[in-house]
Amino acid sequence: MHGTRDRARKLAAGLAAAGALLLSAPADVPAAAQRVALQPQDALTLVRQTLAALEATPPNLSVASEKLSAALHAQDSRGVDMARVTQAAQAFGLHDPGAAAAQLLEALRPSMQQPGGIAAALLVPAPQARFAGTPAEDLLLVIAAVLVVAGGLTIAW
Amino acid sequence: MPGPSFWQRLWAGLDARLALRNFVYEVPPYANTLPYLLGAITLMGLVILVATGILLGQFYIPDPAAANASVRTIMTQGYGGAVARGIHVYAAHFTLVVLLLHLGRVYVTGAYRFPREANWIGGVALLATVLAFFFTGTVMRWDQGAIEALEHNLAFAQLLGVFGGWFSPAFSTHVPLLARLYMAHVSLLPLVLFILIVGHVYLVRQHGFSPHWSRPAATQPPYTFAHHLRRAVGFGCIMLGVALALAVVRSPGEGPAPVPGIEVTKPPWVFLPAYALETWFGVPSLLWGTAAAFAWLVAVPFLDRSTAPGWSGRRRALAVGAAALIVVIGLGVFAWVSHPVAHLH
Repeated sequence: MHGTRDRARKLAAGLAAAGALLLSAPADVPAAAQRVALQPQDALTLVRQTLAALEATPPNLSVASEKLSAALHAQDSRGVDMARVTQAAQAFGLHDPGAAAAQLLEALRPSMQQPGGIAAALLVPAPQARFAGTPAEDLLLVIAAVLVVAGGLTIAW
Repeated sequence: MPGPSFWQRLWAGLDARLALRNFVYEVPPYANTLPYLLGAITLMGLVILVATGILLGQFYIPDPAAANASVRTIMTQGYGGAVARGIHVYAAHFTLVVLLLHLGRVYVTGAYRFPREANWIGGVALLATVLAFFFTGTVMRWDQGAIEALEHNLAFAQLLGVFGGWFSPAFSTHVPLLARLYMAHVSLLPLVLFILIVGHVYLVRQHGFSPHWSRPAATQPPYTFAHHLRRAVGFGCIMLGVALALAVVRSPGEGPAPVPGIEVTKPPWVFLPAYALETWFGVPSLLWGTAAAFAWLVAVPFLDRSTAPGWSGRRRALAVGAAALIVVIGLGVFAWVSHPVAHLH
């Protein structure tokens, strides 16, 4: 009995030591410096970040507000229609995030026309395929039902 | 007297060459009940994932500039891509659920105890591998949730210090990390999974099915492993059928192409407990939380040395397991109901 407890105690001490070792490893990571380095300065990235925040489920309005404000004051506005960004900010101020997102999408049009620019279709969620009851979908559902019934019969056999 | 039928001759011919009779060994009858079939059903789920994954791999481009568009192409163009992707996604969730239930059954029945400690540790390694599959699969979507997962991958690499080299972009500067995670998803992890499954099944064969917590095996009529396998295939068919129906009725979506530098999504359900830890204790908790959870799982057979067959002699182990489950579910529910927060930026 005592042997078991001793083993458990030694194991726990070993795990604690390993944990302390692992925790001490990242102590020199310059996290604050990294955060600063990651803050984008260009309107293009900031507008895309705002759009991503608005298109999240549910929309993250606080992040969108912060990024939109930064985009409005960005020094580098290449590839962005800043008039549209201003209109997006007005729509956002009127608590209409949908309209703000639409304006931001339009604001990115100049960058889309540049070589290597991202396609507009990729800046919005892919159209969700909805069940339409087509013959192909009905056939697939029949196959699904056959699989379930066949599985049930195999289990019962 | 009629001679042997075609099927009997076929079986005899195959058995003479492949020694198939080794798969017809006796198993106790409770091995064919659902709780004891969960491991085999997990294997069926993995077979579905491999089959649909091979199909998806023909059309997926693991390049950050093209990955999101290639997922959309899979969803919208021919060859049943949307259905294959839907089955892959839903089967991944089902397989993980069944695997966790299998782990829970083994824990509750104390099946990790002597002489099955090695198989328990192998099972924990299998869980880690399947979670790695789930993580890398999440990144393959290459939408906002995917890039946030990838940024956590980078943070994890930094936390690992010198051991995190492979997870870092610096390991191979001319190959995008997405491409390397794709390589892991389709070749490295399947290899690890195959080796672990072979070892796991080998040890099950060597030790036999773990004893039932209440029924003495000797009082039951025996069945064969073929019967066990047939029932597992039946459950696999049901899983495939349900995944197919869901893929048709509610096809998984795809978010916009990702933009780095923000965190506005939450991870898939299985990572929500870690997300909650990260919210409360910061990014390092990703490392120590995960390390503590897996260290405890590995240590379970060495902490619980009881030999009692039933539950009454294992009250302490069951209480610890229940407490761990409550903590994990509590963390997950907290993360699920809370608003997304930025951990890295």
